[in-house]
Amino acid sequence: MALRKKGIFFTLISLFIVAILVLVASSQSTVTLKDEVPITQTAVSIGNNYIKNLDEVYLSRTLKVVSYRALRTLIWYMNSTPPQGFLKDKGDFDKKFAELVVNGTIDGAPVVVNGQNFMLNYNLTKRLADIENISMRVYNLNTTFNKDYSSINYSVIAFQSADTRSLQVAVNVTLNYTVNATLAYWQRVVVIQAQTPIYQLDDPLYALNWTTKLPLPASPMAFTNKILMTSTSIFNVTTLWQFINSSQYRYSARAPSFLSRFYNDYTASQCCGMESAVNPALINNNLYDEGRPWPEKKSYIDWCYFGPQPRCKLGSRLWNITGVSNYTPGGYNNAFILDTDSAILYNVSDWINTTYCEPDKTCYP
Amino acid sequence: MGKRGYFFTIDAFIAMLITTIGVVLVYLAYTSVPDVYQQQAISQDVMTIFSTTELNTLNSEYIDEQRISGNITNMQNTIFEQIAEMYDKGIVGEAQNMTREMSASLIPSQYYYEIWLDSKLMYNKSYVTNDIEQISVAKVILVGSVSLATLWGPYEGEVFVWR
Repeated sequence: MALRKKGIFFTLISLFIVAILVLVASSQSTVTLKDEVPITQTAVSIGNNYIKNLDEVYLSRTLKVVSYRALRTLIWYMNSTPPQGFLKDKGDFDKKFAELVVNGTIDGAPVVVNGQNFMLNYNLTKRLADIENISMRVYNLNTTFNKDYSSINYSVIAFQSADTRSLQVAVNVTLNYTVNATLAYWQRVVVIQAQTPIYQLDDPLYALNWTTKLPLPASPMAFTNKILMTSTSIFNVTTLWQFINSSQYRYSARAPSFLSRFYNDYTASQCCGMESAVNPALINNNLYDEGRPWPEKKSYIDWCYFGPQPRCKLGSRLWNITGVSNYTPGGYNNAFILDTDSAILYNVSDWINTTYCEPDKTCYP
Repeated sequence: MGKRGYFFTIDAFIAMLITTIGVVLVYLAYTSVPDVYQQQAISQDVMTIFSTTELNTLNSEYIDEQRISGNITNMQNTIFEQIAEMYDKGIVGEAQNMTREMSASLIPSQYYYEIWLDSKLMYNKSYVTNDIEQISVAKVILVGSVSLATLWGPYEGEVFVWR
């Protein structure tokens, strides 16, 4: 009997020891909690990478293309039928440009030219909605952009500076958005920057100043000049001739910038001015207003030619350029004229001639 | 004496039984998690290479041929951006060829993989099975431009890896 009792006792001790072992080992289940930490780390890491790419890649690329389209649309709008004309001032430009970038409209209406809405699907409202949709699908991140155009946290600014020079327009957009990953939450106010080239955009100065008596062709922009910078750095009679006939542009600190041409402002831009030579071959009898005197007694540098007279330096004389100007109506460089300062700048002051000559060879100083 | 040995033997068997049950209970307390570490690392690795490596940093005859033929016009595109650009232009065959060329040497032969763009299969090295386990996926959003006035995307890029 004593032996049986001992056996039961020893068995109970064994069971007790095993139970303790199980309990001690089971407490290792806290190790599985450690396995959850990498998942949280991964979610935060994915969110951080997504936000970095969003700010530096997706949004800046989108803004660059949308801005280019907005500039092009704004020129079309100004030159549409009936013509809207030059914008009133910088403030008017900022307002209309910002609305185009954000909503693709001007004064609430889409800009349709020849049946084409160039801003369709190319405005920030649409593009940000696309990013919101795809971020949820790809990363399971709930992205929400503040699309309140009137909000102070959603501003669009276009400008030119020493960084952009003549050839680019910088656009800054302040965006307010949140990203919700359930495990983590981001609230961001960022300034997205893009530098948009103005290559092949129409020059507003030309587009709004050409006059014609003939019915317009299908495109109202047929008689315009597209921005293309010259590669010529050294000017003489030969390269001036090429510069005129290529209708290209060069940097000039005495000339207005591309943006100021939208509101007919001829203030010289030290950092970003550009000028071209108006090609007299384009001003032929088909384009010319019969009421205007011919030949025109003004310098053919674009801001001198189109701007309010007297342009360029007051009191400057006007010259034909031997080897450049000819006297055949409708011919190349017919009656091409430069002012004194421009003749010096383009290194043709040794080739200046009396101002212009009538077909009967009567010449005027 | 015999009876004592009998009891000791029984005692030992019972002890072994209790110990075994205890050990089994201890092991059952752990949750078995399949190891997908390798697949995760490979899919992430491929996605990082595709998303960050610019074409102008690669020494590839295939890329040179595509540049000469005009299918590649921007050597600053990353691999995945170039594939997406080809897809957006409608030359899907070339996009698939490029996916194959760029991915072939990146993934060890014992793994199977698929690369998708905008829910379209670009390339796969796989066999169909109903019980694929331990599959890992890496994803990315792609946006780019082919000209000053034209954007493509956003597209979803995916890399699936399993064994």
